Amino acid sequence: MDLAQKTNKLGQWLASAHIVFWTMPWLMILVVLGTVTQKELGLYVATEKYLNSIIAWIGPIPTPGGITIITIIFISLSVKFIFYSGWSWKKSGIHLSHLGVLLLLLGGLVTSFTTREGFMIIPEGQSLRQFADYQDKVVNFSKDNAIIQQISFDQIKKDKIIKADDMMIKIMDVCHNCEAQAPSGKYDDLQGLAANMELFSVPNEKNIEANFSGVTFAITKAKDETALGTYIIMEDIPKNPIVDDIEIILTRSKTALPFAIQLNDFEKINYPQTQKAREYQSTLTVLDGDLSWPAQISMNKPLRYKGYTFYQSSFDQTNDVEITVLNVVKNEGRYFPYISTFIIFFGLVLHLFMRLRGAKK
Amino acid sequence: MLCPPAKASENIDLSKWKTLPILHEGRIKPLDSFAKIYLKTFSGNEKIDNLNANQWLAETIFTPDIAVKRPVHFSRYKNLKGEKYTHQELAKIIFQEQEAITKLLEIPMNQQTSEQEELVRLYENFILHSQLLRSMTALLPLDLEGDGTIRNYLYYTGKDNAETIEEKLSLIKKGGENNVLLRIVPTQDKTASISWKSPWESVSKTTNTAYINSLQQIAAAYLAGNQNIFDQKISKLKNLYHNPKLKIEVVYNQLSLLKISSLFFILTFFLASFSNFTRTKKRERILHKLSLSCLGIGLISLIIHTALRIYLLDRPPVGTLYESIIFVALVCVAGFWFLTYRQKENTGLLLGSISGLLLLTTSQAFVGADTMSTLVAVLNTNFWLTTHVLCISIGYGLCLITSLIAHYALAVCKPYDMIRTIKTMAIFSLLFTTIGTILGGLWADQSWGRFWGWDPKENGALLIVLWLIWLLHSHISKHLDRTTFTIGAAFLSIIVVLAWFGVNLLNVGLHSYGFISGIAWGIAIFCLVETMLITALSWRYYKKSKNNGASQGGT
Repeated sequence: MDLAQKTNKLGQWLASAHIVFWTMPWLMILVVLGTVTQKELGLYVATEKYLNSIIAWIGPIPTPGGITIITIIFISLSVKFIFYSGWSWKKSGIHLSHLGVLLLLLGGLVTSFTTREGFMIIPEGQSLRQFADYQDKVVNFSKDNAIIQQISFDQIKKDKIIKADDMMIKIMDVCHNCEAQAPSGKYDDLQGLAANMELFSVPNEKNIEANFSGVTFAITKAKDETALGTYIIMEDIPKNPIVDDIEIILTRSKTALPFAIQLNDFEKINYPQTQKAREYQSTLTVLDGDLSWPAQISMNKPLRYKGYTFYQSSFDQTNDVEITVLNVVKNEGRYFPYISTFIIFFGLVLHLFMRLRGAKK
Repeated sequence: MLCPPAKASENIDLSKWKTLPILHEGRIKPLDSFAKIYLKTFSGNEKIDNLNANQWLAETIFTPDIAVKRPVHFSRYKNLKGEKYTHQELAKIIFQEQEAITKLLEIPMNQQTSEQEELVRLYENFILHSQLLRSMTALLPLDLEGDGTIRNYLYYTGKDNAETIEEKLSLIKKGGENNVLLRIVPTQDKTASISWKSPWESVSKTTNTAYINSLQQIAAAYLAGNQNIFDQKISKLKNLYHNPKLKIEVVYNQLSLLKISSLFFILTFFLASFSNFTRTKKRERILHKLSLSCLGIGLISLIIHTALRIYLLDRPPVGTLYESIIFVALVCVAGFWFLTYRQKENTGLLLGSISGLLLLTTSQAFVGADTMSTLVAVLNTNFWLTTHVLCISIGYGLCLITSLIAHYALAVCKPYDMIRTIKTMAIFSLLFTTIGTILGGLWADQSWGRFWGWDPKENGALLIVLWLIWLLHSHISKHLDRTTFTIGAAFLSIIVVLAWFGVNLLNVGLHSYGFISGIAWGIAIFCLVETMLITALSWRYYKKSKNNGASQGGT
């Protein structure tokens, strides 16, 4: 058997319906597991475990994860579509549907690699030029309000030593979800907030965004190893430790926007004389260089500008100053589902038309 | 309780009264709907003793002295189960349990036991009922001996009773504080838009004086049993505020179109069954036509029901789970009616009537006191309700049709003959569920900024699509023969129920408006019974095929 024959045989096997027959039930099982376990694990962890994974561990057994299965289906469908479709007018509906599904999966691929997602919390009357990530966190070392060093929170592990400016920082403890309690006496020379509280790790929240991360660390001078004390940092607290003019901050990763968004007014519009919301609405000004113009975001009506899309996500009206929370997404693949919807629709309608016409004949 | 003369006017005809407008839960509706909602909330029924909902409401607001003595509150609380309690009796219970209630109000609903939930429900109903009983007291005459005037009363009973009157007035006024449930007075504000006030709000502020005066005269006419004045004053109110939808809603309430549909589905089932057993062709034809007509009438009734809701609510009829079940029933019955019309067989009549009846019965489990409530903000978009939700609901309906035909094919041992119909219906189902699911993704992209987030509701819809793709591809590739394909199609019912209702039980994800509780057992029993039924039918079919010695498992 020569190479061409071997390739052809492999292609035929890849394009065969065996792949669908065996992969689809497994994908359904993964979907069920990824759905049912959301009750216990929360949406993020459950989907990362079963659906957004290459390997899904079911107990101690490694099995193909959602990404693996979808990739196999994508390859199989691509080979079938390009090389073994058997082009004919009669099968045009099926081909169109397959093309639509391929585009949908391709869009998913582009989306997973290119999407940037986060949120903006804007108080009324203020503007913001950056958005925060939902999951990624960083530790910033700032001097004179300028970041001089940034470390991803994922890289911060217990006993790790980090050099920042002329300080050596030894990580004593890290917790992804912390609870503050009175100091146990475990650490010496407690400084700042650490003098009053110690961080203990507690199980992660189901909603991963609700986790409250923190780090306990000891600082010494790099030159002469003089101990400068033990400190703690926690996510987005108003007072962070400042050691030798360097402020150490644990915060969500931020992405700069090429323009600013200003909140002029937030409104929760209720059904007449009830407390039930009919609409949430943010009245904004987009500030881009010398230009500025009004904009409005409400439910199902996002604002799109320069590839970024802003959605009404949440709000806070408990204080004097109202706050709007906008979801920010930059997704290069967002048009794929729109295009594929039309293609799949026409494909299936055409297929049904052909089938019903065939039945009449 | 301070009340006007305890004189009921049960003989007053309320047909005009019940079309008067009221703003309730963000929607202007007729008093007829309002009365039904509250009588159902308190008593679990739309009638109490010999009173219909409108008579009960009129009695409650015009003669609270009588109303407080009418047993209206049903209870499932501890040893109070099974009986109906008056407002006075309920007041005693609430007083006894006051401490427990105060603590319970601090506990979130999902952490309460069923007993605790019931106590909170009784307490909330007591508050609502109290509001209703006191809602018109500002417009009702005082219960004073003599001719009803204070002068006359003091003359006959002595000057010392002035304090009693003062006390009475103070109590009446207290009852009117924050009394806003009965918003029946339309009032134009400075911006010319209409806001709605309760009688107590209206007497304490400068509002629609003509309207409030007429209401006072209506109350007086009711108490005097004067039908003419009662109707005249109502007509005057209607001249002051006119809304054509109110009458239509009253007609909708009266018609009970779902009951009419159910009745005709039962008739269809029996006529189609008789038609199968009749001996002469002529009789069979007549019975077939009759049952087709009955299914058609049931279907028309469902269509009118749906059309009226679209008109009254200004939105597609799929905003709540209750509405979606009725819409899916409509899709199923219409699908089977069309199949029967084309194929001239009784199968579609039997399956259509069964599916219609089952779905309409199921809808009653989700009915609630108010079936026309306003939607949460994210659902408040007619475009996506019309495209995504209608599309996916049609998909559910078509899946159920496919599943029922597959059941029937197994039951009559004809998967070989019916495979084409099952496959065509499966492709139709795939078309609507796929497009519906993707449209849901597009809606999510518009609302939440992402096309797909593995949310339980999205996964449920995806599961149906994957199941259909797997079935169709496996059949084309000959991995599944006709029989196994038919068995797989029969299981669609379970997949649909899990996707439609099951995922709502998880209480996770962004589709929070769809969360429900208390139906887990119902779903589990349905899945179990369905699995047993399909297994039994398949086993019977295989056994019969084996006995016949003919392989019917071709592709």
